Amino acid sequence: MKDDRQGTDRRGPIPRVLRVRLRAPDREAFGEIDKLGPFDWGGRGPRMDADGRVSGDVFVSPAKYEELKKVTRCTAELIEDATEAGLLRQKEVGRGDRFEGGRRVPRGLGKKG
Amino acid sequence: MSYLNVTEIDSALAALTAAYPSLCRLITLPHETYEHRTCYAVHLGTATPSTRDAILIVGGLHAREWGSADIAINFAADLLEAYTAGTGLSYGGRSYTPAEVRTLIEDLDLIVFPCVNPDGRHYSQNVDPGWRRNRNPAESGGAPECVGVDLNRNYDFLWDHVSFYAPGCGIRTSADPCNSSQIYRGSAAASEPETKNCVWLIETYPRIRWMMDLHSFSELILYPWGDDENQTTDPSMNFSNPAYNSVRGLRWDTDYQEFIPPSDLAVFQSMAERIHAAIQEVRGTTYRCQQSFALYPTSGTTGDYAYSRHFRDSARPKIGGFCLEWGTVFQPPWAEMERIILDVSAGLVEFCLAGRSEGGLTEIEPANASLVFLDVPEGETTSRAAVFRVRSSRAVSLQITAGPGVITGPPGTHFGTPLGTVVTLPPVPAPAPERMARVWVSYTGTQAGDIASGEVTIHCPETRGEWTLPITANTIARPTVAVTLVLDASNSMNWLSGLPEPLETRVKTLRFAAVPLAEIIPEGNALGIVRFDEDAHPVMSPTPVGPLETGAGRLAARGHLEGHTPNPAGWTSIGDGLVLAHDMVAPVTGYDLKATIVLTDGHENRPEYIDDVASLINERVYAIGLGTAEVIRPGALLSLTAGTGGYLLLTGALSDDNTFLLSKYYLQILAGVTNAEIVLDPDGWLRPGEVRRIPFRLGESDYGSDVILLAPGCEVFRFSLETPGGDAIDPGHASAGSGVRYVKGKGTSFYRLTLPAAVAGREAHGGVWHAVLKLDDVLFGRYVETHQKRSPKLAREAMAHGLRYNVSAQALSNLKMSAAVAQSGCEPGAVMTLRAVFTEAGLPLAGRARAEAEVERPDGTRAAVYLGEIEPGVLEALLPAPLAGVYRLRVLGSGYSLRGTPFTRERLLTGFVYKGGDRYPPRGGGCRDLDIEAIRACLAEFQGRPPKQALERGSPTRTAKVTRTK
Repeated sequence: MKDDRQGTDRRGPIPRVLRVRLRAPDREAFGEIDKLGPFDWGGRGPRMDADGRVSGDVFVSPAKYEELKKVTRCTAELIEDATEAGLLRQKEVGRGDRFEGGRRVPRGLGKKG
Repeated sequence: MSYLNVTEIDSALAALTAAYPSLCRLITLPHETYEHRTCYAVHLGTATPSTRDAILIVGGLHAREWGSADIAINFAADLLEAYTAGTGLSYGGRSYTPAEVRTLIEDLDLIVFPCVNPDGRHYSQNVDPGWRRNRNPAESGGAPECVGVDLNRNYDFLWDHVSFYAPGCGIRTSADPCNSSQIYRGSAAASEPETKNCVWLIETYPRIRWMMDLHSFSELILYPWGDDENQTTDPSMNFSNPAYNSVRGLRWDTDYQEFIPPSDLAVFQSMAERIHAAIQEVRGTTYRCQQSFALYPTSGTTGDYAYSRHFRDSARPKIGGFCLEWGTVFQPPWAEMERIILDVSAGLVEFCLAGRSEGGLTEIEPANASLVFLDVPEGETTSRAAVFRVRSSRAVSLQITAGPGVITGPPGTHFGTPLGTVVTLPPVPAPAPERMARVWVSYTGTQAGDIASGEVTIHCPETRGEWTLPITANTIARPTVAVTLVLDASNSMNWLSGLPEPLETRVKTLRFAAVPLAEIIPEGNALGIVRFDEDAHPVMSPTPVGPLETGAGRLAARGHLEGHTPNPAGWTSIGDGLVLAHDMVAPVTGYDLKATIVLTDGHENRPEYIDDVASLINERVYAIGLGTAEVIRPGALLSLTAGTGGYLLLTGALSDDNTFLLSKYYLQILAGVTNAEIVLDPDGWLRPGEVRRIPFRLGESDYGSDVILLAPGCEVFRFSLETPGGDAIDPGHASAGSGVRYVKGKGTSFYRLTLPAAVAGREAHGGVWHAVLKLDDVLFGRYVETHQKRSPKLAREAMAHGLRYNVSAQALSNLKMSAAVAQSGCEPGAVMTLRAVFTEAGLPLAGRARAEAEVERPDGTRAAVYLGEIEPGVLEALLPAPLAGVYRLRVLGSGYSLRGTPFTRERLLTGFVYKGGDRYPPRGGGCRDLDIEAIRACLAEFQGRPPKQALERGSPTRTAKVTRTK
């Protein structure tokens, strides 16, 4: 079952995406951030703590990051360059077919016994 | 090791299938992706798919969440290897036993679909690591950033978020293909082949009860719903209700919250906690459990779609849809990913074990859309159940919250709840079989022709399900019967009966027993008479009996019965009598039942034989054998009655103690065909000056009653009734308007009550009634005087003991006892099975009835046999029958009605065995063919003595006469 399809590769460079952690002291302040959306919240949306503070990570372009940094009463903290991290991680994707088309059996990581 | 590429995912599944062919089957999904990839899943398990509950695990909907597919394949490989090796399975600090591994493989179908979106994965792993969607460019307009659909927004659950959600609710779904959050929902619900593949799995494996959708990241365990906060109190506030389309999805409001059955929510939370605990044990990582909506409002997600299917169509199984967000980044370094694989694999094993032990979420579906009471006879109460199919291993209750109420109907229309308003099914081990819960509603027939309607609302507190069922009912006249009496007129009917005067011959006994039938049979029924010797003779075609006392048919029948006279040269052809009765009743129309009561005192010895004509007979047949089993040889009669709803009764050898036995048999059969129940049936003697108060109990289930006095000197008795309130009813007080009739016949007198009866301005119904007997001194004197001349023995008996009587209290009732005896054979040594079935309004009287049988064996010894309840309302006992002859069985039932009112019931049955009993049918011959036992019996019958004594004392002349005439 070797996959040698070409796929739908995009033209030109892939856009750079940053993972940015947003913090707002309350819902009202957070609303100012939200106005700049929509955002890619990844697998999780904004979270409000018991004291009313709102926080969450978004995946945004560098330009959007600059906008977010300007929102008053809120902070925008750069966590990582997600694109760079992802490209690095692509090097940890298997090459070829380690299961040889079904002739070699995968073993789970759980301990048997 | 490192992340699997899409080729390796397919190869891994193929390898597992090849390595474990009996445990792992490859599933080829039907829809190719945009880039023409074929998707694969595997089915793990030892049995044929869809024979057990199934769990679906899917991963890789979002392209960039690479680890989901790796987790799913690792999970499958671990289970297959551990099961095959017979080992347990450990993930860090969390261990599972070999038995638990076996449970997953042997008790469940596990369907693992590791990579739903291979196109997206391939793109993410080779081009843009942040890619989330599939690679469908259809709506992109050529812009690379606008390619693809977010598959976890593409399912048919509130898919059109613009229509279903409040503006500004912050829903994380977009109708814009170029939305920078990569949450484009697609051009239509389930527009994408990847979505269709998941839907196909759900529909192809209808026993999927649970589903886990693997995502990253956030270390969360999510359960429904995702569109708004959960609430468990208002089922009408739900995703299908358009009234809430403008307010759905808003956070921190109460205008709309999504309904979730409380029982489901409890299970979701419980299972999530188990997953959480298992993951934590691996290496201490804490995954938080929460409702999906706690992240943000969503539409079209996998879990909500799977869970919502049942709510849109209750015929679809309910699927508990979970989502697990693993890790803290989309693509952790592989070394960390391996640790996450251990975490989540433990969570998946726990999820499957929890799914197995829960069995499934509670599903309740009504099995009937309405309650129909069709053709209920006047006064009778019958019950219908609102039936619900319940699939749950937990306790489930159903309760009537409104009604049953009357919407239309005449005054007096009533719908009841005979078993109360709440039904609870107890918890059972998972996997729970489909169980039926029944909520009973009753209806009592009013007047013939009445039509009524109503409705009842039934609620399930565990699911908050509520159903309103319409009720329709109509009343018809009480069922009527055309009864044909088929009477033996062979010469032997002239012989001694064994009873004292004035019933000393069989024909006199027959007249005494049969004449009351013509007097008691209720108006609206018909009576016919056939007599037979070696031929059959029509006496009276089935004729409407007419009103009590004066009906022409009734009077004619009585006259014929009083005049019934045997043919001194007659032999016995029962078949002829049956055929003629059948021919006479066949053209008669307008009766709900046709019944034949055949009486014979000997076995058939001339054609037509019973076996020759049995196939013609389609009426209900009752048979009475006046005599012993050896003489009557009742095998053919038993066979004839067995398939018709009737039954066979034998008197055995009669003696002084059995004066009323034949009368009781006839009355019992008449009660049976007119749907009456025997409440009490005592015999006794009454002397002048004595007052006998015989108590009997009527209840709220009884809507009519006959209280019948039988006595050879019936005219001497003063017969009255006393109500539970102490009011007296005597013949002078009886009138149609009061609901009480009194009839004085020949050899019988009786009261006919419509309940409740109006007596002394008061209502008389349930409670202890009394039949009050005493002898009229003047009439008694005349009786003695008269019989001193005609029958000094009878006069002496009356002077010494008084007069014999029998009182039979019968009830038209919704509380019924049916009783029967079945035999393993007709030879000595056979076993008789006594069975009594108690019902009220058609419902079994579970745990409320007792029954015992007084047994009189052929040798005259007596015993009591207690019947045990073998299923609700059904009582049974076994009785060995080692002695040849007739076993007389008096079944006495008692207990409490559904409302807790005491009741009694009686039924006479007979069983029999005799040497050669399994070799029927005997044909021809008469006594010439009889064996020694039968000859003894013949002689005994002829001479009115016990068999042995008769043989010893019988003269050759008399024996020869028996031979010739019989």
